[in-house]
Amino acid sequence: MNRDQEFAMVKDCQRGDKKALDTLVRQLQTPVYNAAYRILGSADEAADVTQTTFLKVFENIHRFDPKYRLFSWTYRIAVNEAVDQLRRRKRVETLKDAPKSDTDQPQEMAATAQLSREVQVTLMELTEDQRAVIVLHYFSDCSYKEIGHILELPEKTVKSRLFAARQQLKSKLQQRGVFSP
Amino acid sequence: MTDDRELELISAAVDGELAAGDQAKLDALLESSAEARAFKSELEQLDSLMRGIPDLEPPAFLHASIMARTKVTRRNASILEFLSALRPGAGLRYALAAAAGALVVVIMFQNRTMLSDGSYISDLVGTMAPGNASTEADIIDSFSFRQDGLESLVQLQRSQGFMILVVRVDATTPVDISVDLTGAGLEPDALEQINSDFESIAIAGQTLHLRAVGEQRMTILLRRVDDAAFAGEATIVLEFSSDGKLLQRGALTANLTGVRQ
Repeated sequence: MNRDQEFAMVKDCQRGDKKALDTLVRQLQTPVYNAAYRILGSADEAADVTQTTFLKVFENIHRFDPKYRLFSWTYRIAVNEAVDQLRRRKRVETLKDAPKSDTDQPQEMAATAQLSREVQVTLMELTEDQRAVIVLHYFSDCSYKEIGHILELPEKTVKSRLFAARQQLKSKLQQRGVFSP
Repeated sequence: MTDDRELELISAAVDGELAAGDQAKLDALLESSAEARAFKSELEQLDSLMRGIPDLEPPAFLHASIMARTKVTRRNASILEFLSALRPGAGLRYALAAAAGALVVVIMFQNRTMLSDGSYISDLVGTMAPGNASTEADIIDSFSFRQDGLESLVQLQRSQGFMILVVRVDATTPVDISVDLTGAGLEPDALEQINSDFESIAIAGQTLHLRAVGEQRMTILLRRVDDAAFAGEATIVLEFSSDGKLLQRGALTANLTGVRQ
């Protein structure tokens, strides 16, 4: 979707057009859910955060500033919600509710699911700040500038934080035997 | 020894974020340092590993659950937009209040879920939808009961290849309704409430949880789950409870042959 189409969709959403809201959710629910899951490590909480994110998007759509992209504005809400949720947690969650079981999957898919879980466990060992930047970079495909907008950080800070986070991630994945360059 | 600034330079290059003036610096670094080349190779491998992880599927119910909860926020946003657009003088206050009230009614009434072909769920529903007397919907199964302060009728209808669950309830105190689709081979695709205001709509696993008080009606469009292993009869289990106490339990069954996915 280009910026003009996005702008038109936002206008329709602002008018309360249910079909436009539906399109917005269909386009963004998977990336928002994935970002939330990778930050939280819990499928149930990721679903809650995704739901809350879209309700906030709908509630505030009339305040949307078109100088930003809709997805980065939505991600900003989602990341803030996910981080708030992390802070509300009283205990460290385990990955008992990973979204998909691999028991009936072909071997190749099962291996990918296993890798996905190992990476998730490793992500949960990073700090919240590091995890957020890694998630936005690798799972949400955001540029430094977009990450800066979402996390409200200068681009330079994004660059150095991503560098440090990636070094941590690499080292922890190596320790787990998941990554061997 | 390659320092952090040089490593950041390499990271930016791998991320496609290298500043225009830095290319020559990077080339010189990679040419002169085996360590820098090794670091770049490591980052590229990490990049490939991380980007090879597929997206996780959100729960099947998530979209329907979000859309079902848009009513209030949409109404608020529209009213705000409406009010801010008009900014009336004192003389117009009563007119505006009346107009805003009318808007609420209209928007609530129009809180209908549009399907991909431009129709609405309630257009598919038979006898229970006002103004749709001509709609041909088959009632597949129904469940009803009446007790002190609570009356309910739940129908499973079929229209144009869709399976539609219509939940009607009239309760003097809040009642919790669970619609359990576990193993039914069906999942909700969209929810719609017209002139109704369920207190809560939530989804856990394969179960839809509704809380209602007063006279309310919810229409739920169900689609057949794309699962080759499933064929045959679907059973939907309904439970009505209040304050954690089970009041009524029932089930609806239907053959899913020919139901849309």
